[in-house]
Amino acid sequence: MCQGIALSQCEIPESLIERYELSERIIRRGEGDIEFRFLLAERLPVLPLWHEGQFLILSWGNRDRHNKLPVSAWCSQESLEAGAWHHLRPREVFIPASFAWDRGVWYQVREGLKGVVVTDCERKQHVYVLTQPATHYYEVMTRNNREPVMVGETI
Amino acid sequence: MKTASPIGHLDSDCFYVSAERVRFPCLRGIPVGVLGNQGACVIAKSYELKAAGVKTGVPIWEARKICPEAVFVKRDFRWYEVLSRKMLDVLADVSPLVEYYSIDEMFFDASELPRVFGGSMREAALQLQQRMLQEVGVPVSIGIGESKTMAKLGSDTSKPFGVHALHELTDKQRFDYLRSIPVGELCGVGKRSQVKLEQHRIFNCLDFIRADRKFIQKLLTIKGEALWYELQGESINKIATSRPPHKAISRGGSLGGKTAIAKQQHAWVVRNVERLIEAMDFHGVFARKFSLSLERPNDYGWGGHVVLSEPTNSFKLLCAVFREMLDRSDSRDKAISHMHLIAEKLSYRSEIQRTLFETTYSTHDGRPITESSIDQLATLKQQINQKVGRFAIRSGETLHLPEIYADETNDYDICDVQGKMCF
Repeated sequence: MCQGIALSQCEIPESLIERYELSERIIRRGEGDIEFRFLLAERLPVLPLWHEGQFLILSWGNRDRHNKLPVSAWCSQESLEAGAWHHLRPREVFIPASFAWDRGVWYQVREGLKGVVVTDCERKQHVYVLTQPATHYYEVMTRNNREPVMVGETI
Repeated sequence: MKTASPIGHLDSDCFYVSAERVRFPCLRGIPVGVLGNQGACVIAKSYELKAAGVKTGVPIWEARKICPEAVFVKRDFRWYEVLSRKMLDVLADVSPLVEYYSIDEMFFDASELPRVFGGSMREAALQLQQRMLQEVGVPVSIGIGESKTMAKLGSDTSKPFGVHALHELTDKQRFDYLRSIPVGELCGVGKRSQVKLEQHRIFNCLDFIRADRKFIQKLLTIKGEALWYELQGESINKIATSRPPHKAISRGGSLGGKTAIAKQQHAWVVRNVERLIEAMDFHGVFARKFSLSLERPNDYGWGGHVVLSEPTNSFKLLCAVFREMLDRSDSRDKAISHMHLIAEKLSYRSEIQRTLFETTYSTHDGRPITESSIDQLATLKQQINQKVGRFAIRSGETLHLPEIYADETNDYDICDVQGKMCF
């Protein structure tokens, strides 16, 4: 599963970099463009997303056992389709990404990942990365048997 | 004797990575590895990844430890072929003779370059390099020499993004240059040949051309002798604008991990028969001898062949032939990791005198398979695939490989880029 993403500078509107204090997340990989990195291992992990024309940064998953949301960073597509998330009224969102990270491997993402947003009892929104069974290729590459659902491609 | 027409060699700099950077600019300037073999190993790398110490062929789990910041990309030979053919088009525009040596290397007659671009040969080659970058987006290195060997040496030693016009060097410069290149760098001198040469104190290219020609021929056969002439500046290997006819055509490779499941093994046979027939169709040939080679991780593997009475490209017949060989290999319950299907004794279709009798092959259970009863379906499949796309219709027997067929990049491999001189 995906444990981090990186987003090229050109993917984020300049005005939003300041608003969300994204400059703290700037990384330069070699001589490449500036990128913004979002890792699940952070103390308060967050993810960028586009939802109904708005760029937002929301908490990535949930670690709080008391707010009635699944304690996870991911939402399996099978459970979503089976209706297990129905009571939370999940909304599908687009998580822009240039690269994603899984078990120590950074790999290219052409457009971005799919995610779902749900709201906890304190009306705080959380985003979960949508996942599916990994393809053979993805499993060999990352040694993970689940992969994120990507927009317009399957790795 | 020196040739009048200088030969150019154009070599893309880290081609697969450069091709990915054309469509994904965010990959520029960062360490990038292109993965092959079902995502298991690095088949191409950027200079940044090379500088970090990652070599081609390294498994991904080692590469990520050596360079944790590297970004890995899935190979896409369809896209690489698009850019490769664009490079050919640009070259064909400035040269009367172009050889499609490999997906990222081309030889060409460089005599027209100064006239097309103006200036000296070196200046013209620099302009060609810029044009390639502007029109295709791929950085290339160019070598110019009196022979293909010299031209290739020139491009190899000017990488990355350099130009080397060796035929413009003075004799002294030329000797210094040849002295600086270890003999093992020569295209055509492998590890074993290098050891042989070094045992006779031939360490660099200058030593090589100063050695006696007959001695080189004795040591490295006529191929070594041709290399000796080419390094002297005499063109022996001419620019080939079309590929010589194949002696054999092969398809196959890794099964994406080992499998002992009989249905999957059979499905791989059928998939590779489809690929083999497609390649035979491209070259317009039928074959009479068919070989199957299996790699089994836990033993020595297996190889076998069948010679038919008549040349054929019949799908049903070849499926029966190869499936019977698979059964004969006693691979049931034994894991297979690689499979290769080889067609030999090739004949051009137009040259075949069709027999009045049907080509028949008896399967292991004695059932006769004849060619004529099945060709209508195969022809229809071929016509649809030519129109709609490669493998749009394929045998239902390959349905046991859903993971492979769910991934469309598996439909296209480096050997499917047709017309190249070498792999």
